[in-house]
Amino acid sequence: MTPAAETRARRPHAAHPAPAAPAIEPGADWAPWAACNPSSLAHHGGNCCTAARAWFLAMDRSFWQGHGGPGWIPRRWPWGPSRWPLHWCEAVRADELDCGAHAFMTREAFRARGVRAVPVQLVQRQERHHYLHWLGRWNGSGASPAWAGEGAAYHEACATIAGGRAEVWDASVGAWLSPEHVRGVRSIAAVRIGGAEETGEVVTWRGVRVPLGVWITPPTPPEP
Amino acid sequence: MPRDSHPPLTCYLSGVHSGPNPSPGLGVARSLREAYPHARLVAVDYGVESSGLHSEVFDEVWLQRPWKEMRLPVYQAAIREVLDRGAVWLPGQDLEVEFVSAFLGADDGALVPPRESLRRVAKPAIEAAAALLPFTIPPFLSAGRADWELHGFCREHGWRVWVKGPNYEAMPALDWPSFRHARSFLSEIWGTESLFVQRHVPGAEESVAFCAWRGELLDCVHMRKHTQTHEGKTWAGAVGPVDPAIAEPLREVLAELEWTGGGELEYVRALDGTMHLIDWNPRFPAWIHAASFAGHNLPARLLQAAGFGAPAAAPFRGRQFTRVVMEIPILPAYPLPAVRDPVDDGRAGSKHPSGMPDLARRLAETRGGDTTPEPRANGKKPAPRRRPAPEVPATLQWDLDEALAGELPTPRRILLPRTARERFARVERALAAGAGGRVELGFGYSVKTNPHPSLLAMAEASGMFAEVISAAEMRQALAAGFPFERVVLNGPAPRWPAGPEPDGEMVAAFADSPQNLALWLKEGRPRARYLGLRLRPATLELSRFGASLGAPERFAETLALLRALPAGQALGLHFHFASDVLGPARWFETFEGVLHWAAAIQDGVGRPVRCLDVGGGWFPDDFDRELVPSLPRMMAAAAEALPALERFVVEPGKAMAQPAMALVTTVLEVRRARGGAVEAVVDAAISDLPMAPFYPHRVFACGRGGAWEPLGGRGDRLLGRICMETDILASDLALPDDLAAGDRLVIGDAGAYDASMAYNFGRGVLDDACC
Repeated sequence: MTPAAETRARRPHAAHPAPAAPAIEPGADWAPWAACNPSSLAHHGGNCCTAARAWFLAMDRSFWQGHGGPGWIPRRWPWGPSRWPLHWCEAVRADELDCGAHAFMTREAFRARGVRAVPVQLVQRQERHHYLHWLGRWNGSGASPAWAGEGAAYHEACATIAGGRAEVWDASVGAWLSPEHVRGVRSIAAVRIGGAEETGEVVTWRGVRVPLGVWITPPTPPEP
Repeated sequence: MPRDSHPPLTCYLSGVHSGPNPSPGLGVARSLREAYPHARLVAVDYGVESSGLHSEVFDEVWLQRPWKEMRLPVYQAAIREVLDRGAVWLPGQDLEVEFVSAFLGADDGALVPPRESLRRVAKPAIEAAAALLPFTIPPFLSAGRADWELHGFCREHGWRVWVKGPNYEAMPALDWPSFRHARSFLSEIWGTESLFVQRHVPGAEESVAFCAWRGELLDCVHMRKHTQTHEGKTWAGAVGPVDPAIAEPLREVLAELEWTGGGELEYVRALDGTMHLIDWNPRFPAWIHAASFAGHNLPARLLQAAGFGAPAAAPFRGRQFTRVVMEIPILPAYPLPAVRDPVDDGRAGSKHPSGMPDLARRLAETRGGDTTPEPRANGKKPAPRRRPAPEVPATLQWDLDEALAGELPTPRRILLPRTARERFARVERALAAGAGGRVELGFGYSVKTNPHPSLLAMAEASGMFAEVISAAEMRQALAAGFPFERVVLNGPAPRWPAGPEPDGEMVAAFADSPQNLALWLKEGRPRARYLGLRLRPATLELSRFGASLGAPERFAETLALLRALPAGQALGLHFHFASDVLGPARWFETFEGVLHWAAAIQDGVGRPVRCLDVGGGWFPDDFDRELVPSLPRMMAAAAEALPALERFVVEPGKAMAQPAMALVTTVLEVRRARGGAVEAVVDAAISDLPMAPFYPHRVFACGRGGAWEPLGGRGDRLLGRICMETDILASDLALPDDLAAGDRLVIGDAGAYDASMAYNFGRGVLDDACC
């Protein structure tokens, strides 16, 4: 089946970050997701989370070779359900993490390397029948499946910004995303680069002009 | 004869095997079939194992004799005849391109570049691309250089290197044994010693395929690999336009080369965006049909330029592609060969079904001046090329000339005093240069590398610490004159064997594991100014040594243990990994990572790190050229990461002792094979030189003037005296032509683990520990 022909988003679970004002049309299928804030790990305020974060950043520094994204993160914690709120000390000991945790930890890693990094939120087209798999897996783990829809899914990533240019790192896959990926499974239906604090700034992402902090739909390149 | 007067249009395509490492012929044929539905496509290959011969895309098969038995003039005449009838010839193998270019020259029907152009795009220098195209060529070195130099190249690039043939095939060299294996294997397969070793460049593999006619670029496409086979061959990818930064200079280069035919630039886009050219293939890539259904039918463009007329239009079907595996019926006229006896290696024919290794040998002969070589008897190989001897420092030369002036019983390990003193003088100079700063520099002599009293005495006199891994070594160091205050203790069994410790306080003691540290805290810790742990960074998780940092739970346990140290105890941390295994660059990277771990530990423990001890296993040349000059930078980085750091200890490991001793041996027997390599059996053995397989040792023979001269390489072997298949002390020497029984040879670089790990095999005695 052609993915995403019909998309019905599910309202985010209360365990996800609190919603902000929706930036795309309220009537859009994925409007509930557009209201989400990017995920962030919580800190217990004690040694447990301080040591966990210090360990994570030292690990990242060990694996970093001067360039590229932290691909070790999804290798160490494969994509899977996370229960929110999620603390640093819980995240580092988890067997798997969801995209929100991946993206937040990746942002922290980039920032510790001295690279400007901002959150990225996406709505990706998916096969409709995948929804039931996700629903079962997330519910079975006691995690919220609010990110999953029939024909689309909410996803988080991370962007680095330098010299007015953005590159988007899919922290759950360990790969750079292209705005040209607008057709087929996992293609980008909508994306917001940057949070509320970046609003007003404009960058280019592989040739696409992107206002930060605003949901956009990347232009569809013409067929040759 | 004009091509259009000879219907139907005929194209001969060679290199049609389609397997895990496919040739381009089948993809080219599929593209041509779409563009010229009525053309006559003839598959050419050199064995029925070449699977694409059986594809229905071809109208005809022209099976040739295997290259190893082919009479080249006959084949040349046959090709000439089909070209004279108006056909075109499009070779699909690099070596066939060279063959056709060399023997047919410029011809409108042979779609190949001029011979001189092929020389200018040959690996590894790819001279034509170096000036104009926006690529760098990864560092490389001819495998014909001295082993000493080659080992240095591999260390310099962290053993992330490839041994490559001049045309085909590459094998990774992860250490010296695998380098030697790859060199020997590729040399044997391809019948050449023209191999080279090249640095691996991590990154995304991309390529640009192009076609040109008489120097005019007709079209080009970019391809990025998405998935690869285990051999690194394309399995899926995406085709797109070529960046003008590549396309425009490529147009100029092709004009200069007067290029005709297909071609492919293979390069790696590194993480930092730089592009590194690995290969310039003088033919289309095997994935070329993917470019055709993405709207760029390069084979058709080439044949159009060659007079085939306008190709039929084909619809765009997508930029991304993948390969599939499919079964096709065998042509009845070309049945499969009989199944090989399973006892034999039945795979031999499948790896190179088009017989390229044989063509490589034939072409090598033609490069030697014989333009019409006859087939050689199987197994006859050209004589190995002589490798140069390594350069030898004057101190070592003096030592050898003096030490070996008189008679010595052999085998005998001798101390080379000038060389040894020169090693320790380097440390003294580095200590003097590092003195006076906030952080005190120290060097630790690794007693395990060689506990010889003379070397210990020199180490003590030069101001080094004694770095010991057992109580036994500590006693040896104390006996040699080291004060207890200049001892550094580490290792997995640091207090073995049990016994009283001297009064006072040693410099530092590092537990090898959290369990070891816990035991010290429970049962009494060593008296040391600095006490702490050896760290095992996450990138070295396979190491058996040190406290693992790869899991948050272990990290938390380590912090908890270190918090339990008594209040007045100064904290130290230790990192040790052989730099000649990692290569200096990766060792430095790991060191930088260790600084972050040390900073995280001191924050987590709430106690400053006051001593950092780092090493070891430095190859002497790397210690001199890399580590010593880097010390100011390393100490500054350590002081910045660890503001309360008082002492920075460096352990050079074998860098001190390795060149300081040599092994003198006597030739017992010389075996000369007819026209082949020389083998000398000597009275030393692998038990006297246990590190022989792991790095090249410089070997010396007495020259006519009485001076000891280093030997180069040529494939001669030095065999030990004992009954072990592995008792081979050197396998790529150029032994003197007049070498005879009774002559002496000296094996250098035998002063470190060769000395301390030597064992009593074949001497008729057992070690004490056995009884």
